[in-house]
Amino acid sequence: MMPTGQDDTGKMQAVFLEEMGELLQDAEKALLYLADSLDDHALVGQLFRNLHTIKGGAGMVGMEPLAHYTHVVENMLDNVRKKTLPLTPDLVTLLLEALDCLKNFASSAQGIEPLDVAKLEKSHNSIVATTEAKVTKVSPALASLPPGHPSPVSMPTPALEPSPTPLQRDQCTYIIQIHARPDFFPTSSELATVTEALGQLGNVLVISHEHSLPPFDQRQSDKLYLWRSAHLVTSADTDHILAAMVNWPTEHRVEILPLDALPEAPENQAQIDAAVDGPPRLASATTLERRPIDGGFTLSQPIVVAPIPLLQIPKNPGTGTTAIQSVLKLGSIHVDTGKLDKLVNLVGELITVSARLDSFQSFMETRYPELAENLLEILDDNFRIVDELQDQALTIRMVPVGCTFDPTKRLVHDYCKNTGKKARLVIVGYNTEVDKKVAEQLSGPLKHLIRNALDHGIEPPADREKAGKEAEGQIQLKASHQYGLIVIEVRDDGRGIDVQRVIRSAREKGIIDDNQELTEREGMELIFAPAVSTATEVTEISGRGVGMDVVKRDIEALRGTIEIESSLGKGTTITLRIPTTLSIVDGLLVCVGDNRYIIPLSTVEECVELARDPGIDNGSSFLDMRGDLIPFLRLRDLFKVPGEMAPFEKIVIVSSGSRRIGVVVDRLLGNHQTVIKSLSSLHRGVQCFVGATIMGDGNVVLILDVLHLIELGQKLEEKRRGKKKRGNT
Amino acid sequence: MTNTPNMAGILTFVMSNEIFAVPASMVLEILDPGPATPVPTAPAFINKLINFRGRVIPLADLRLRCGLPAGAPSGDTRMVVLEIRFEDEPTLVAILADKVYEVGILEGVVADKVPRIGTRWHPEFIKAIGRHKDKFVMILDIDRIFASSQPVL
Repeated sequence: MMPTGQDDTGKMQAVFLEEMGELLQDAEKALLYLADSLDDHALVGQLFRNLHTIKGGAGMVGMEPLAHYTHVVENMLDNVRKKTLPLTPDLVTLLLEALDCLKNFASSAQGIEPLDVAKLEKSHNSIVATTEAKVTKVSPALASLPPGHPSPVSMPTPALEPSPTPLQRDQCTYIIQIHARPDFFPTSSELATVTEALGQLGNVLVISHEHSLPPFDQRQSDKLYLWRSAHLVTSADTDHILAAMVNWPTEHRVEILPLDALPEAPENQAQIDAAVDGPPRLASATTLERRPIDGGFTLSQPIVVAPIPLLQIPKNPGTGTTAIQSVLKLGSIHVDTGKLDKLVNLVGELITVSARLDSFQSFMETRYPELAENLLEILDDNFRIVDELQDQALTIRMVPVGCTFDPTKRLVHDYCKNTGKKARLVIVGYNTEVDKKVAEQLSGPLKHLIRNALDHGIEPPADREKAGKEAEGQIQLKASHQYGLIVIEVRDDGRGIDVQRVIRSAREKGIIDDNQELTEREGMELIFAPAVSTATEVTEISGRGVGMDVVKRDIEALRGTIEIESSLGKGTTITLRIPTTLSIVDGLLVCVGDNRYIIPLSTVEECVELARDPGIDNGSSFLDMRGDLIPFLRLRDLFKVPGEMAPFEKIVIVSSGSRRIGVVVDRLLGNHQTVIKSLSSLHRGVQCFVGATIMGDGNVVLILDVLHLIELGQKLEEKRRGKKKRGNT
Repeated sequence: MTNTPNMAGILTFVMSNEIFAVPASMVLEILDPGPATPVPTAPAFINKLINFRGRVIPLADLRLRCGLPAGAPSGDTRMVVLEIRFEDEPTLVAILADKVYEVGILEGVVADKVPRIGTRWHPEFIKAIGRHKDKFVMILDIDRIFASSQPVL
């Protein structure tokens, strides 16, 4: 392999020079714009990145002088970027000259023209002088240039002056160069692991230097040509960074260079002298080389990638504003929610396309197993990215649920002032995140619940004291996350609900039969019945119920559930469980006849095989689940699917709050993440579905409305009770 | 749209051997028949869903709306995607056609009141009868057809 090394270097260099030409063109364009608007920070950042890429590439292909010169220019730009050096028209001129020099470097390397050493030297010196004059920084020894790579340029020893401003020292920017062995092909998960581990240390940006790739026809498929580097802004030290990179540092050559390391103000002359006269500070670059790298192209000889601490004292790395930080400092921006919706929709489309690719891959496996395997790798990458993209897109839409709690504070305050009741509102979990759309639609029901608690829950202070309670009542609004749902509890320590009176009242109103016996829970559920809630007697007696049917409908419109729990004299808790987002659902794909349906996974408790039971009567029956009798619905019958029953049907037990039913399907097809599309308004009358989704194969699949199915199931149960009762009497 | 058909451009198509027309401005696309998902419990004339460019839209068979038997699919069967107004909102729906002819110019309106006798189709769904290339075409009142999903018989 060694003999080919020199050749490959040549090829690499050609590719690099081509890339460099483009980078320089971009840089020049940016610079010319910059000449018109000297304070355009983004352009400075772009220039800086272009130069940084050139520097890295130059080091990679062994053009040390170029790397060094670029570093000097980059360094000056860095100071501009950090605003320690003002950008003047003179400076722009200087930079334009520098770009000319870089172009000259490139063309000389291509043998087009000779290197204009005089011009280069002049440019170099004036850049260094400008940097030194304006930025009062310490420069260490010049001996930092690697021996054996004589630079065509000489550098003046800069004058030392104390740093004028105290600097932030807890963080430092590192450039991590990964000189991988040529046979190193990290899997996407391996890459992701390292990136993530580095990300935990601080802000990380991993860059694959595509420009380092040789032309496609010159690549060997079993060799690594991609050169990676990472920017890391962290307060961790190099040991931690190395540890985060798992086995990479031992397998490959990894260099960790502190970038932008700003000097500490030297306290006395002795320190300054030490800084100047001390040994070359190459130690700042942690070069690890546990294993000699043999074979391959440019890596046949280890290259020292310009660890040139021109303006650095590495012993005390601090940092100014780096590119990453300046992005973070931009803070928040206002975005039209329409745009966000579009983004989320597009991500949804992307998920659909990915699923299509996946099914295409499965198809390929049967015909072209080898190709299919390659495709699988790409798909893995794709899925990982799409997954992250989806997470990100959805987090953009997320707001703290607390925003919807805020207006209720005012409500409690005003209510107490007007009525003489005393109550305080306690908010827990203010920052629990929820989709903005959900938050918006929650605010109405929440106000309703709080008003109910004040009206009917919290007693007047005198009554409370009589009952041995604090005069001031408490209403707690608590939000938390639970399996992709947001759970909101509205708890008051008021008088509670007298279930028996609710039941009695419902009987008087004829809502339930005289001889119909109800459990406490069922009695409590009556509160959500429309007729009960509008009956004033009931609300006065029960202390609850004004518009509870409306609240329930609103919550169910969000695919959520509402539960009520009350203890007489002690208080009432209402619990809302709502999916945090409306646009995507994890579903269980099931099959009935020729059709597929999706059951939202958040409602699925378990799946069991349906034992053939002779007691099945026309589509509905009951299942004995460890002593609990659960009604079940056969979708085949409900949807009037023609054809024979499957021999081994499955039951999916779904629940909402404490209500459960079994849904009988033919087969389970697995989990599926889906983007919910609402049904056309032309299908408003259709009740069994909350929406539809488009599968990977392009087919539309309906998503079952579990709440509606549960209601159907409950009706069956009531029917059964009725029958039983009639049988008894 | 007003009651008098003010439509220069129309799309003509065939259902149950009769020629119908809708304003060309409503037509978004004409698709080859593809997989459709049945929607249990939906009204029969609109009990299917299709994927139209990543959107889920209903597929209607207007014959069933009018109490005629559904047509058998043939090589000429097409799905015409229309943008209709439903409760004042633009809504997409696809309708099945036995054959799609062309987009053309309506040459004249023969009658803007449709006689009850002489057609198997519900006159309330037909806005007017027009002439196109020496043939009578029935201009559908699409918005009205979908205005209420109650079956009209």
